[in-house]
Amino acid sequence: MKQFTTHTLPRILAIVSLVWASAAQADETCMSPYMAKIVGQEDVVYVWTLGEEGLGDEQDKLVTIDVNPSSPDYGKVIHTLSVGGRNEAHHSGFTDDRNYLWAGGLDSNKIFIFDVHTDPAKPSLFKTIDNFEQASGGVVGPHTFYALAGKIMVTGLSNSADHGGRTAMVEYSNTGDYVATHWHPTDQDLRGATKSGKYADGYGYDVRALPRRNAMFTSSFTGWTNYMMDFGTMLGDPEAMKRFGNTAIKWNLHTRQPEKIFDMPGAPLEIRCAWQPNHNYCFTTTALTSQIWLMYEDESGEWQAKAVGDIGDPSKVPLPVDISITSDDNGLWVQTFMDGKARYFDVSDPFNPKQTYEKVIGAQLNMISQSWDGKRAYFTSSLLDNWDKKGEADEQFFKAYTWNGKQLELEFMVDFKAEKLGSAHQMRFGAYGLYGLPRPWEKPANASAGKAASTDAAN
Amino acid sequence: MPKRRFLTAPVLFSALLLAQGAIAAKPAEVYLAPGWGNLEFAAPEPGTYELPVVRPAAGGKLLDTKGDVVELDDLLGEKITILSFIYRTCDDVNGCPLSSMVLHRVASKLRKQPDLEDQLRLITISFDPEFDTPEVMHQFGEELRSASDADWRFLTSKSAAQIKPVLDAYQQSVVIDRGASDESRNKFSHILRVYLIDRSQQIRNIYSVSFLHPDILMNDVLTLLQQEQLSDKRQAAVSSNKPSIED
Repeated sequence: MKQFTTHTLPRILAIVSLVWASAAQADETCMSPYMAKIVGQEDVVYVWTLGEEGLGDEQDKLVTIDVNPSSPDYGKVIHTLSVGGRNEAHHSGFTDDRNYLWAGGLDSNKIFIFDVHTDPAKPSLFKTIDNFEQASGGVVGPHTFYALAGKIMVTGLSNSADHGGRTAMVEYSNTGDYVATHWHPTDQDLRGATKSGKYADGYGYDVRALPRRNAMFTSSFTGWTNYMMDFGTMLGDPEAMKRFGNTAIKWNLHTRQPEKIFDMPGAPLEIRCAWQPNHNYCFTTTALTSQIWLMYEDESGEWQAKAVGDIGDPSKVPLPVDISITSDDNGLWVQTFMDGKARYFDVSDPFNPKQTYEKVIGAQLNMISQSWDGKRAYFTSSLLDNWDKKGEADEQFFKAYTWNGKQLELEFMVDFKAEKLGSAHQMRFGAYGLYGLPRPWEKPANASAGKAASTDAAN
Repeated sequence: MPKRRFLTAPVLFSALLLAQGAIAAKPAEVYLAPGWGNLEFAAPEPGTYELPVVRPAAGGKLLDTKGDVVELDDLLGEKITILSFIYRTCDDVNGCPLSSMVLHRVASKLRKQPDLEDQLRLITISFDPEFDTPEVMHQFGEELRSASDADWRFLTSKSAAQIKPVLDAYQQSVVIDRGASDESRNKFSHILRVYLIDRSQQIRNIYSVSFLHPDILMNDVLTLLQQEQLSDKRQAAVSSNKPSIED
């Protein structure tokens, strides 16, 4: 038995002077800083997929794709798990320990919790939450699933009273115990927040946090009535087009209280916060006005928001959707749905983004997930069932690219229509090493894919 | 804005980078979690926020520092509890050493707040029974407690099989790193978790690296105490308004 050679407190302090930080390596850069990270090559990508009428079993499903080039099944769908119906499958997110993947249905309000740690190649359904609306006090449309310490924050898009955009965040334990509902501030009830402009619409969409600044941010989209409406019909309805969010909110992360409401006209969607320890800012993009916005802490410690650049030609409404920041905070991928383009912006000066590259990925394009080193990027096609393009333009795919810093090279694709899977939406990475498991095709001694670690100290 | 806390560990980190096949071998900055120093923001004032129930806190059979079997359940409920899982030879600066140091700082604060000392219990549980025997945990506790009179319990278990259901119940993910373990010690990959548990044995907050700081812990404890007092007053008011049989 090892004997004590030093006193404990001095020993702990000695560790401080000797220890190395685990290199900031992780999987996709859009995840919560609270979450366990993958070191090295991801093994699988989970694609939360909308069932399509007349295609395969027509059900929403979790599709698992092998993405490790050293695997004999590289590039293949290795597993599908259907959930027994269509729910308007949309976003998904891991718990902080990465043992479970939560995935939501915007229409049914069901939340499916998948066990991804027992066998990362064959997820199983651990639990279904089917009382989200009742438990939360009327929140509808579970959207983002964001890992906090031992808990999950679920953003809503709507409410059961009028199916409009007023909504809340709903907090759960990692295994699905309801904890609390946090309504977004409105003019009628600011909940202690201050308005920095003219809006306090109470809308919601995405959530991200900068724990080291005790800051949490939300954006705003539209309610059930709009997101379940045919896209063309909605565009032609002036009243419907008025019902989009125009705000982002800075919250106190620890107390979950809203503090400041920013005007951000045109439905700010995905939020991505910087990773580097001294970068106190987050990006978002507005869907309808096609702008990049920066929420940043100024020199006096006050949080501000500013439009810092256009995406394509805003007058043509390219409809920016998913975004992804690189781990060094120097690059921002912005996908535009209408023209199917992936656009790379140099954001090394976050106040002056410059587009340096673009490539058409498909007839329509929504989500991106990139590896921590930025060398691999994966894309999917679907936005919303009723908003996806019609006819031949309704391509449904998962495409795997490599990025050499100058251009994207296609490695492989999975045609979700040809494979009778459905419409491909959000992607999340998995790895055997997260759970101390060897890769099946490797000898156990060589298994060293990844390990659980938390990088939230750096954020 | 306060300065961030970094350390430079050029030799070790360079070696690590080279071992991982990285090109550069430049000195690396090590970010120290807030718990090692001052918070970069003001901890929210006690009582200005809610700490909703997350879920029930679990019990389980464990060993105390004398090697006697204890029921974790019996240690919860009497006082507000801060509970952490560690292994003693953990060398991740922002892992177990952080947790132990933050609890040590809480214990030090209690010396200046004797009223609170009776209200709060600290529990440190090892998930490495192979090396963290009751004797080892006893010495670990003696050194960490130092001059404090804090009610700080140090627990371990008979075996990995005994601690596993406790870890599972707290959703404390622990994976042994087989490649890094040697004969003299184990190495684990794990998510740092510290739990705040109320007297009703409900988990009221869970802390990981970013929010594990004595100021936040103490303010959360004070928030729970204020809520308890409010609840007691409400119950007293209800009792005093209740019509008696004589009425």
